[in-house]
Amino acid sequence: MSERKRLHRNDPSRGGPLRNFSNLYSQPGVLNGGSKAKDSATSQEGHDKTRAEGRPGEGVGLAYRVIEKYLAEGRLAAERLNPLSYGNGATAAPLQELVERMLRQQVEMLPLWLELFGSLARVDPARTGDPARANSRPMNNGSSSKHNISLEIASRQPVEVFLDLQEHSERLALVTSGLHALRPKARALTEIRFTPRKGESRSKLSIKIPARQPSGTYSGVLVDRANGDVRGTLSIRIGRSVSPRTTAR
Amino acid sequence: MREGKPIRVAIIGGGCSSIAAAFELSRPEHKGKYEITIYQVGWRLGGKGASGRGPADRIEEHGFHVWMGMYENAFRLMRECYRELNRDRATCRIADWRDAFFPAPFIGLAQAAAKGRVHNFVSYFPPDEDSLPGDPITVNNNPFSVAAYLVRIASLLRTILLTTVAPSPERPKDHISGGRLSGRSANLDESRERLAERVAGLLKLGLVASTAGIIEALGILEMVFGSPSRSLDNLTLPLLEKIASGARRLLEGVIDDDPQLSLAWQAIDLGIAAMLGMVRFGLLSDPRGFDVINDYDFREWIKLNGASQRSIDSPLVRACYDLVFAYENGDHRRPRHGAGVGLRGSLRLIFSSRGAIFWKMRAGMGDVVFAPFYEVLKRRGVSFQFFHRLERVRLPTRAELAPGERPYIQALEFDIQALNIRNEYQPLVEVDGLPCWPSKPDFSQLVHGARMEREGRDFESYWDRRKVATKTLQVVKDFDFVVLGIGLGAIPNTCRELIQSDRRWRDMVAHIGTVETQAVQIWMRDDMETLGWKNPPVSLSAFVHPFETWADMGHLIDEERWPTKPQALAYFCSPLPQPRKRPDISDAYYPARRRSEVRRNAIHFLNNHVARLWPTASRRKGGFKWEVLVDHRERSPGQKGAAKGDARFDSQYWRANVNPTDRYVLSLPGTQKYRISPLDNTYDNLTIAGDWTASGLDTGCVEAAIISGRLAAHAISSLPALEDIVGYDHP
Repeated sequence: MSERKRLHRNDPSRGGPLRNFSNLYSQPGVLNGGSKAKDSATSQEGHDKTRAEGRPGEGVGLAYRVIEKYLAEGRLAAERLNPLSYGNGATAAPLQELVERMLRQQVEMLPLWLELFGSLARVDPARTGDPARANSRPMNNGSSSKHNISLEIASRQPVEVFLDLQEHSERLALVTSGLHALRPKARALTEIRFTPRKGESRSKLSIKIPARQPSGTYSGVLVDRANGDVRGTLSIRIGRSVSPRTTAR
Repeated sequence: MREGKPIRVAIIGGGCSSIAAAFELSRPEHKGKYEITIYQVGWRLGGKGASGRGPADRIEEHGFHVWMGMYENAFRLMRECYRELNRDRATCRIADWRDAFFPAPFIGLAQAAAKGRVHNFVSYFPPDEDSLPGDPITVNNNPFSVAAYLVRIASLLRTILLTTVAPSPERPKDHISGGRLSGRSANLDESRERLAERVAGLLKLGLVASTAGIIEALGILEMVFGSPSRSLDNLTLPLLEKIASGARRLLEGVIDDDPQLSLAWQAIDLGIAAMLGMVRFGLLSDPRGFDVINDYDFREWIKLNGASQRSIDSPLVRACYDLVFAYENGDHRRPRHGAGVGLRGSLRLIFSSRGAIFWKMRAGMGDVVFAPFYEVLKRRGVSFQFFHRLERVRLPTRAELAPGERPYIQALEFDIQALNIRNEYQPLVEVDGLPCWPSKPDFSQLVHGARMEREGRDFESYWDRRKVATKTLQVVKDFDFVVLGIGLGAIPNTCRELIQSDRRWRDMVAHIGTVETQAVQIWMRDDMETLGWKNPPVSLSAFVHPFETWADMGHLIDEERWPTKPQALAYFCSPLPQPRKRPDISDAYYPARRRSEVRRNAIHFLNNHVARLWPTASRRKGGFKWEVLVDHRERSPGQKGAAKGDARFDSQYWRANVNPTDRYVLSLPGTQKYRISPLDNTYDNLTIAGDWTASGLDTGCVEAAIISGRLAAHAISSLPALEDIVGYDHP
């Protein structure tokens, strides 16, 4: 009788799940699938998500339409009451007052939205999904690969710089009224200087970050001092992203 | 195959994970490569999901079981099982998985209010027949896309507002009910005061809707800014924080006295906190996925991300904890659940459920799940050895290991609880043509069965150590591979050598918490409406301690055979607070004491709390109307000699799940890292299976157990492919 031998399991190809979100996103099919599913789910509400994948202006436009939609929802809710309230003298006044209050409060929300989406519209052009724009970013304390701009940064904290300039803007006298954070209490970055180099088609961007400047992303518009035309945007990210290691107990 | 002979796999335990492993290894595709034997303590399969038919063929469960619409692996196997079973509907009323499971669209939440009152909310989640759990998943309908999650959070919040809070004349009345919601539908005759109140509600709603508008806009902006690269976090975070603070400031002051709006706001608040947290903690890009926050308690993590205390204490969060008995040591004052596990579970439950969020079973879980699996596995040639209690898993000594040889399982020692008169024990009984498990073993099939019955042998009790023989299985001679599918609570007693020699096993049993649970079923002669519950059949959580969860299970009554047919059936369950010291094996009266405790809990609960659910089930002066309980021994209501008062409770069914294998597995913060994967190859002829293992889901539920069983099968046979285990690679 042949002697039986003890069997061994093969080593598994891996010992646990792949948890990385980015893996999911990196699968075009999955991402597209998710997007399509969302499209069908939200098309009833009139949100054309596929169009949202375009340039930021379109996206912000969509966001505005969503806001409008919700305002309309509020008005619709009010209108539902009209036949009842207007036909009933005793309750009409308080009802109308309440409806007006409702609309007024909705409208009061509008500036907040406009501020938020306006801020978004001018930060980080790399998010547009437009590779050409994304590639134009000069990164991390170096010189721009596309624009002939050298960077000079004085900061005690890690800094990343995102610059989006229209073509042929390097030699212009660019100014900014300051780079602002979304956090209302964070003071603006104002020590931003563009210095054209004489005789060269390039300029130097000097940025000074105050010692205790709060972490975050600061953004602003770059304008041509000569005529006030907008020539691009500048965003600066200060500090590391908030992580469990920094926020944990 | 080895030398033309099949590879012998010993599967210990007959719960979900073991059955899944057996189902995978016995697939026809393997062409008989594996010879499988399942060793089961007592007379029935099912583990914590076992059920039995008791007196009047009533269904007696371990607890209240629902399957969630996100149980993709469980439903997939179940559907395959029924397909293979190919029952004839003419002779068996549960012939297909759709006969066995049906959507349970009404989900209830209870919220404590002032003066000891409770607001009960019932929401309707319409079933979706277009996509059912277990359907093939393609790139176009992948429910596990994180991109979809993020956007759908906002979508869900809007849905909550538009379908739960916003009154709509078009909405069918029965869609929303409970509390004041049903009273909010448009009604031209409503009083002026009511109208004013309604508009005031709309005023508040306008604000809430506005907030949802912001969130919805955020969802769109997520799409605008494309895929969430790591650097997106820094962009998104300040925006989210600003929106969150603005919305909270605007809304928190206007919802004080409106329970509906409070609940809607709490859902929004929690949604915002989850979104913020996902960005703030880098969950979108961290290779550890949600595990990175598992050291936090879920409530603590939500609070860290700005949710208000009111939202944290809301029934929405409580229901999440109730669903998984997430109370350390069963103490309702100590809710503890790993944040990553909780977030993953919540997202999967809400966003990847298909067909319905909850699915109920048409009969007992044993009847609709384990009996079909038993029949199919038998057909495939799987052998079942009942009445086998594992006593010891034996390792070789170091001297017995060759240099470089991995440790392995050398022997499995069993106590045999009973011997069969015939070759094989036939475990199932038929109830009107439906194969079911009985609540007691068929003693007539056992050697000295009559005596054993007289002696009251309890084959499922850890404390009943009686045996008629022992058996030792030797590696090579009797088995090649082992799937250890017993409950975690039984590991310390049976795997002493593993624990002694392997630190990871020591840590696992030391850190992964388990809890005893309690379950009560009562049958009543009045229907729910007569008892005062005016809403549809519901599964309700976040109710009053000690039974936070109630399910209306009236649909099961037709499956049972009563002399006097009950009109209502209610299941209650909850964790059972633990004694300071775990009971010793010599404490033979421990199960009886705990069972008495559950009885006392139930009587107290029915006397003092159930009126908040069923107002007319209680007397005006207080106390439960015990006469509504149906006693299976009575031929007619109120017959002579019938039990009176709370003594009538003794005819109902209740249990304390105190056996080590019955203990529910918790996901306490900071303990996930101690779980061991079924893929672990430290012992090269052993794999483990159960919801206590690292299954990816890492929480106590059927799906986690099924995934674990499939992983165990993969560990042995390389099948199923890991990519085919749905949701295993979820972040």
